[in-house]
Amino acid sequence: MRHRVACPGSLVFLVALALCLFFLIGPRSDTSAQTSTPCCTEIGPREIDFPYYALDNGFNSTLFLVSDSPDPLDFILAIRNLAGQTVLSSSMTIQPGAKLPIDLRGLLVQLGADPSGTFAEGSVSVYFEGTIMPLVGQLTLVNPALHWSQEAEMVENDPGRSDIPTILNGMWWGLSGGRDAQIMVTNTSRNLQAADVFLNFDGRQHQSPAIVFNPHETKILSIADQLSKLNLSPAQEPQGSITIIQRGANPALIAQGRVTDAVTGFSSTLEFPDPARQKVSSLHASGIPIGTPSADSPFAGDGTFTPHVVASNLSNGPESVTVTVEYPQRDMQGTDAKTVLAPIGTKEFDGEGGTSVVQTALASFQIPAYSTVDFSLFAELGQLPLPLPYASVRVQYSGAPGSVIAQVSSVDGTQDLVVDARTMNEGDGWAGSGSNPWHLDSQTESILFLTDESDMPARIGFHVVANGVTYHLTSLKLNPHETRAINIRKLRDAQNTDFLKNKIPANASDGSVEWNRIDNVAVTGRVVVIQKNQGTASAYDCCMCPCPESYQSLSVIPFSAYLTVGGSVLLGAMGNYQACNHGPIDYIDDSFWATWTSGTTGVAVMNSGTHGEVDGVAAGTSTITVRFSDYVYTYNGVYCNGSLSPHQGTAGVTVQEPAYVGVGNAVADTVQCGSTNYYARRLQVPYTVLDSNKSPISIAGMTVKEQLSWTSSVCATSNDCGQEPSAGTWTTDGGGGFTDTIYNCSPTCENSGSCTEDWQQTFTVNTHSVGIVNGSTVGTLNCIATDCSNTPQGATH
Amino acid sequence: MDIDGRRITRLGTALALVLMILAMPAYAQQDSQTASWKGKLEVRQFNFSYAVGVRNQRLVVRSVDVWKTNYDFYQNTSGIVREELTFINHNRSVGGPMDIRLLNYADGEGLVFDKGRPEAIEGSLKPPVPGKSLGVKHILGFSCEGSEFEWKTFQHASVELQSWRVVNSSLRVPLLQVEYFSDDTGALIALTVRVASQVGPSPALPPSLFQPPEGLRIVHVPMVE
Repeated sequence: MRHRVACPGSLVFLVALALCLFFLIGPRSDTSAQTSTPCCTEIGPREIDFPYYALDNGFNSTLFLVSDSPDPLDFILAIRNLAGQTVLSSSMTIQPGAKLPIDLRGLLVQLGADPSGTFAEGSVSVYFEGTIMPLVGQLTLVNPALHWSQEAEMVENDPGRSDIPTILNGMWWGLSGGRDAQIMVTNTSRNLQAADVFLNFDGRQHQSPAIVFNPHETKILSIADQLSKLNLSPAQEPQGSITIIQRGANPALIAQGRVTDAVTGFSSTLEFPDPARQKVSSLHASGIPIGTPSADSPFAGDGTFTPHVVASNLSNGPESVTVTVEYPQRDMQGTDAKTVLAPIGTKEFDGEGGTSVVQTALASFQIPAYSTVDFSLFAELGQLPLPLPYASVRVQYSGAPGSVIAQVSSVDGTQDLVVDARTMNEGDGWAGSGSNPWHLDSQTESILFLTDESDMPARIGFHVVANGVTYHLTSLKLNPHETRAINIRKLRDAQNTDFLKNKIPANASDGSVEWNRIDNVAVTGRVVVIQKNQGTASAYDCCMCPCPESYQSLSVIPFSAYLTVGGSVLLGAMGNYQACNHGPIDYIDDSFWATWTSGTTGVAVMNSGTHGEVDGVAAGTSTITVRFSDYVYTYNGVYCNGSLSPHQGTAGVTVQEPAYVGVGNAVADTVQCGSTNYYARRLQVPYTVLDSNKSPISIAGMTVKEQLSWTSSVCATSNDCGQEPSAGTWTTDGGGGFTDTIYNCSPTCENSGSCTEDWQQTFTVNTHSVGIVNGSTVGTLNCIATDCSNTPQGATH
Repeated sequence: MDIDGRRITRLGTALALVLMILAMPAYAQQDSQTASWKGKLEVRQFNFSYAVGVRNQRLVVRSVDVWKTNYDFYQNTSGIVREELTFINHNRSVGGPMDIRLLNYADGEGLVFDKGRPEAIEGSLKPPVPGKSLGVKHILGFSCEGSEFEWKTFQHASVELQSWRVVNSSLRVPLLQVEYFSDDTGALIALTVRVASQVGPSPALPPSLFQPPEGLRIVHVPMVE
């Protein structure tokens, strides 16, 4: 892998050259794919930036990239040190749906840079060409020795279209006992960038000296240092917020923060939420541990947790904040102040939850102007029916959207494990999708938490990619205010087959999970990766599209089916949906809402009670048609416009009527007679159910019964052994087959005697009498003959 | 301080006894009071099939099918065991009776019959040859002595039976039996494993439970187990 080390002075030329080469040689999609969705389908050069990585003081940094592109995607990395010096990787490729972990230490060594010296800290940029968000990622910083884990969130910074806001607002909290908070601020541009810095606490903004950033420089601001300039200490101001206002017309600064405590292993990531995404005055944190998690919790055994809601008021007036906890409950009892929002219906194996969803308003508190409150829910936990597997936290504030920022961190009692939950604004459409990495090993669990923040149900498109295999869930639907925990290990180990016959490979230890809302309601979610031996938890919550997935087409699964007269078959109406970045198709079973019709009702009719069930009336064929309308979304830069789009699908069904059972190739062997010491000759006769044309009826589940008689005008019968066997009953396999097994284990034989037991055999299929086809013989009955020494025999008449 | 050596010895002995009692299996502790027992018996018979086509001799099927039978068992104060069939997974064709098994381990005789049917088989519970000891194992908290038996049947089949029976207890039901059944060519025809579970003391059991119905037509067989 070739590399370059560049100083800031020559950086402009080198990066421009590299990018020009990259985009010249990179893949170009069909530009005709561009439509009226201005944000999402344009092909162009893209850049995503990560504000900070660290490789010193015991830190490892891993960049996790996840592709949501349907095609292999080429990209290059630019790794910059604190001073802005850059090393460029050669072109790399990520496969569709793949998770690609990039160890920055190893990459820097390969590129000839010093990860322990000049490149021990810095920032990362990823350059590629594509639609919006075909490649998402997150940078995870882990210090195994100190049990610290922090995240660096990506910021999209495309040429000519950047998501970098002018004002960066973040906060610090928990600065007691010698802790410090560090704010890492990176200039993503090749120009000098200046910013004014304000520390907000005690009811007012405290201005610090302006800071100037060199091109691509990363500065680490110590809150303790900043406070000392105001003759204050962290002990005096353990929580507060920081506002960084960029000068100039082109904002280029991105930021990430952290609080660490080497003594206890405490570590928390400080977020700088995008003000543009703060559209309503409600925030949501999905899937946190609370109290001592119950035995069925993904956090079971990880500690006893107290959630902290840290909220900063960025406005010049006081605000009130209400904290509501939402949690699953299996056996809802009593009314109290709790509300049962909805029962959870039958689910495919897709997650854990309860039989109901409960909301409890736990607390409300005031935040003075320009102040921060670290509100511990410890005193309020008694209001909850602990233990709980997990909970989600809703933070509603009284001011204008964006006037409060908040973070929820659930802190273990030993301070060793902190589960951070980035709060998502309920009006932020981007929060309704995710393309996240996961990892499983003996010490690591990965849990996807999905939260429906709204009062309406939410269908979710979902697929997992591992080892090149894509596995879909097609009935994932959240109830209002439900949080669903999808344990990736359990999902993998269940080894269920999806409707496309795919399974998650049983040995898969890494992969990606992509999810997106289908309904236009507020949804958020994140993957939490818990490393139990390191006492660290990482959260991945980034996004693909601002709108729900669009309805593309409708398919009937299966497209051909067989059933018997009086029998039934269940068909599914599978809606095909696609995210606005033209990523992979997701599937939702729309059978319940679709309209079903049978073309030939004299042959097959649709069951009035079970959606998609076809009932056989008479032998013949019929075309089944299903129709369903759903929304196609376009994004106008502000909100998502939905237009109803109808689609239909068809399937052919063949109704057959059992008329015969056909005799296959019989085999003979010996069998031990139960717990006696006699072995008998055994005849095993395979049968297949046939229709009137003597064609196999390949349907599982038909009930075949035999009728045995010792009075017959055709067969020679005998009950010499005194052991008239009981008539057998079989259920056909998928090929319409069953096997009759005949042997003579009568007591006489077991006692070395001799006897004969002969009888007449007839069959019914689904209660209707059928004939018997045995080679060229077509009859109505079999004559069966057995004794103590010979193989049983059957003859058809 | 004056130390009384005899008191220490008595105390130590008492302590050791208490520890021994505590260390004994729960049911062994109850055994002196336990007159009746109940439990479950699961039997899994793997039938190894080298089956040859009846019409087409070149058609060979190599497979194993599993016969699963479950019993509830009850043992009265006389050591007679009643086993009741609770589950069977295969059609029985012409099969010997198996619904109810009355096994008198004291006499070494067993009687097996089907509910509502007149035929019964009766035979010895003991293998036709003396066994050799396999030593002692603890199974389900019981101390069990293992015995291994090998013999030939009248059809020249070879039977190897390993049976583990409880010692120092009134419980007579073997807790584990493994049997290999091979034909005269040496081909393994069946592997049978019988395992007792959920064994525990039972309230007093009605005598009628251990009486066969009247009028059974009894066929004597060499061995019923």
